[in-house]
Amino acid sequence: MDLKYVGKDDSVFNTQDKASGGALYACDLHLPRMLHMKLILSPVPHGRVMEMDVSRAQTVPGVVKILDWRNTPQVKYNRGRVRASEDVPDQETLFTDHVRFVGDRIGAVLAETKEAAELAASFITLEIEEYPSYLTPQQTLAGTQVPIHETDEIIRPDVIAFGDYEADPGEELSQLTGSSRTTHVAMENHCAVADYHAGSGEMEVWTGTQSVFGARSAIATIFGMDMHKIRVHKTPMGGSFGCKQEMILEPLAAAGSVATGRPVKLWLNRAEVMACTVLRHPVGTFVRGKFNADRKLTGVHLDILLDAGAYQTVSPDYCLSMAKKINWTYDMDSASVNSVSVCTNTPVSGSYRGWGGPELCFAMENFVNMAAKSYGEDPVAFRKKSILPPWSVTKVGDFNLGSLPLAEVMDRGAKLFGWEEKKARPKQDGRYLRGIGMAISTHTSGYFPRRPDWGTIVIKMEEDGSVSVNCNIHDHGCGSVLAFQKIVGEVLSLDPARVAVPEGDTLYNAIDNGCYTSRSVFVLGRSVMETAEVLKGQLLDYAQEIWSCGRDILYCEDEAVRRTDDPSAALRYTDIAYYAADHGKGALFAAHTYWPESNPGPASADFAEVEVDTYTGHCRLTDFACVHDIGKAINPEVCRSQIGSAVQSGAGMVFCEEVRLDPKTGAILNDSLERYHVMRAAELPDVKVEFLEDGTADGPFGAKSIGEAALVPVMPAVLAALNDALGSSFSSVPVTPEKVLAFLEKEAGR
Amino acid sequence: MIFVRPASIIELAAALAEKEGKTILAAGCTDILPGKIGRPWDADRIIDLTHIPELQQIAVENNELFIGSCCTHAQIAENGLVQKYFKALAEACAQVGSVQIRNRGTIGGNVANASPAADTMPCLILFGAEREVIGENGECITGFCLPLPEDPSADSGTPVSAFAKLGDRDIVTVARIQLAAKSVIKDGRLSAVSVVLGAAGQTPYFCEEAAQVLEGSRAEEELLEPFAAALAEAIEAHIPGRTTLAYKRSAVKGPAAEILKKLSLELYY
Ligand SMILES: Cc1cc2nc3c(=O)[nH]c(=O)nc-3n(C[C@H](O)[C@H](O)[C@H](O)COP(=O)(O)OP(=O)(O)OC[C@H]3O[C@@H](n4cnc5c(N)ncnc54)[C@H](O)[C@@H]3O)c2cc1C
Repeated sequence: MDLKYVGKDDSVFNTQDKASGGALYACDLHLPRMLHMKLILSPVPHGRVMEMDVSRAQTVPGVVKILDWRNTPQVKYNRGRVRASEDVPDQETLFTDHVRFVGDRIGAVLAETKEAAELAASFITLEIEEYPSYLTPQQTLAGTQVPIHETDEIIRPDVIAFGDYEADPGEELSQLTGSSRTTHVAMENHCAVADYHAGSGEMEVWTGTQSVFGARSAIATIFGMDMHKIRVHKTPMGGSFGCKQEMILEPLAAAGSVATGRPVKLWLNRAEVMACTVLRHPVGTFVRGKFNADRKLTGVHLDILLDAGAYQTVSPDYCLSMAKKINWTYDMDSASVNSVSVCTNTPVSGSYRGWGGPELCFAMENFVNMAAKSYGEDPVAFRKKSILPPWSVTKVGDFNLGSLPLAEVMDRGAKLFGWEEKKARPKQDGRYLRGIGMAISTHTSGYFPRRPDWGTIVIKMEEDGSVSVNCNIHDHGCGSVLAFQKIVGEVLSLDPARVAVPEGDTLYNAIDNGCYTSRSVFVLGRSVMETAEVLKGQLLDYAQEIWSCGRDILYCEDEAVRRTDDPSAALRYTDIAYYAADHGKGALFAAHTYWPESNPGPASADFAEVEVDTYTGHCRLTDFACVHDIGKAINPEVCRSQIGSAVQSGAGMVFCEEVRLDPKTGAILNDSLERYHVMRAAELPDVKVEFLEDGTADGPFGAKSIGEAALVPVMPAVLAALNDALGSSFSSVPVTPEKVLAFLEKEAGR
Repeated sequence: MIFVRPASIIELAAALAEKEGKTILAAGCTDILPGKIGRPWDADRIIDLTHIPELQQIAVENNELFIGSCCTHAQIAENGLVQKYFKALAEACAQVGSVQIRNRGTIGGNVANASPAADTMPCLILFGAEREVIGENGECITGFCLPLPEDPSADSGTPVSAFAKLGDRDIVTVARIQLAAKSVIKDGRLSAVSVVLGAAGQTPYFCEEAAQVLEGSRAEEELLEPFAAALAEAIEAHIPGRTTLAYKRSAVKGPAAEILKKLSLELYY
């Protein structure tokens, strides 16, 4: 099929606005009479607030109200719950006197200005009875004298297993992999604005969220409100990477607005984003795996220990999300995955790009790289013996993984990277050492069949032939809106600029899960495509009526219905729209629901080259190549940027990203970007990317997912290259310059 | 709050003489603004130093190079006189922050902010710079005077200098170790070597033992180990027991190698 818009590179519609400061975010919103909220956070890791002295704070001009656990609803909720029917543990309240980490919310000041709210908050003094604190999962598992939570302090999700691992006679190898807490570093800090009208009982909320319906559900539950009276708007977002997919700020801003009857803005600074939204889980995974005489992987057993932080929130689901992917990449006779999610008196862990995919892949690929090395085999050839063949059905969840071209992504990746050439280079010595490594992965394209999923869409054509799409889309700033414009434009042969795709709005959108599990393009994109086809059918119906001709001679091109038997004839869409209206036919309007029946796992192979400075311990990523089985790249340039951003964050997690906690209090030691290091563009190599586009998947034009999938194999590939350079066997990250030098000194001392 | 923008030294002196309330001297604001995040602007007056031509000059005066306090890092890094006589300072300024920071940040602000990791400090100390100030308590720096090296002749030799910095990462980084060295080349060898270590203690300091290693040498590669060892010892003496010591002691080899390399290049060209 010749495609006009899909598959062409286009820059995201609002880049000019963003670059020039013209783009408006939630924090730019100013409503009349709006108040500003400043949170009062716990300075201790665990304790009971006995007294909160607000007398001095109340003298600050402009202070309107001070909230705490006594004058706000004490409904327990789970910030990760999207629909009220979900069965997840409820432990969190808006504000609490039982504080569970440095940064837990005790109350909030509401004032006429941000400055007044901040000043007043700094004047509040707290008297806290301190409890013993438990800063590591091991401490909690050893028993808590004063429980962090009465129930669900420790959750052991169901064991995911098939076959009998222990009975497998193969040779066993094992390895422990660990990763640290990291922060998402979305450029836009979290912000939510809530506006409650006591008279009408209506609430309106503006927030950069990944789920407007999740935010609405949380507010409805906590405040006992009717859902139809709550309207949540998704505002333009400056990145999320998962940090804006949980309902954290919306209920708080809503509480402020309910308490005062005035609009309330809650806008966090970087330190607050790090301390009291969500961090990536510290996770330890002990992998045991067995190999047969041919060195094919035959089974694995995983023990996963997840540090949930002070509240369980999404962590038990996270364990399961790791476990369920165990049979997506390697063919095995047996697997069993045990996991435990443990609360500690530390900042809350939660959603991060990939949702368990990168964590599982990191453990598994580190293990496989270690096994290849200990058997003296080439990592690519070694993997080929164990990978799942195309069209495999996973033994966990029992569904088809799609074309799954694992061997092909590896082969093409090795070529793109120059794997063989680089491998053949003589080992250097001297100051700089270079090494290479690789990793593979399979990710997800939606919920199917784990959870019911669908996309309900409305598309209407205006009289001038332009189109508006009503779809619950949440663009994180990475171009999903443009992808949807292109899909509709392609179906209708209409310039994508003439397609409006406004983002999530609970008042108009049909209920939807939100932007999770990489489903946007695969599920909603396909739904939008089918709905556009329904609308196209209406256009053709009217054209047939006007021309009284057969259907088979009609086709759409350049905003008009045309006929094969007469190239000069054309009914422009606008003509058809006026025809339908003027003849009282009704609106050009299509409502349609699509239910996905597949979930093809995009396969990826990443190859990395790392150079280590043995004098300073600094590591550089000097080369990177990725082949990703995307099915169809709707907007290739934007897809390549997804890979680029994944390399930026994955390599950062290997080299430097780490939220460091005070070992005595669990307070964050590096809560600013001055102290929390990420990889910058200037430190990254040119990332070589190739897409496999076999078009077999059920996504629009054959597309599979990319946003989360891109991150999945980066870390193990980079770590393998680092280990190859040094001859080390690091399996926990980050590997800081200090650790590199300590390793080299130990080696030299041998 | 009053904002004052003097256009000359005279106007600046008048503004400084005004004693009422709290005053902030503002140059490029690359330290001031980040420091104000989340904190109230509690000053009564801001004096903007960036529109005073005298403070933006780099000029030779009586055997000294005067560098105005409001010269930006970019300006100093590109200045021919600085490159010729005080290359280490040009190199240090060229490595401050990012392009944007170098275009705004000034040498006066760098010194006045007094961070132990300020990149110009080891060089100013190495070159024996003196500070010029005005104001009743000398609260405002107007510039720095760096004594010019003697004219290169057969007797005095050719002056050379170099700067190296190690941070957590390679660019836009806060220094964990700075190393500045100067010398004169006489008969193809280094003489009158001095070495300053920075960011490895509260203030930069001379490291005589390390200088001795290089004295009379051709900055040969073989000297790296003893040079780095001397520096490591100095670091150990200045930050005993610090958690960062183990790393700095061994990582100093990186900047040490860079200094040797730069000096040896000077010897050959
Ligand atoms: C992203 C970033 C990266 C950075 N990287 C580096 C780096 O690599 N190396 C480094 O050394 N620094 C770095 N800095 C710090 C800063 O940029 C420098 O210290 C810079 O030289 C400060 O100059 P300024 O003109 O901006 O000072 P300002 O912020 O204007 O002032 C700083 C302080 O000095 C006082 N002051 C300014 N001028 C005078 C004067 N003439 N007399 C008396 N007091 C004065 C001010 O009152 C204030 O207290 C970085 C900063 C940022 C934000």
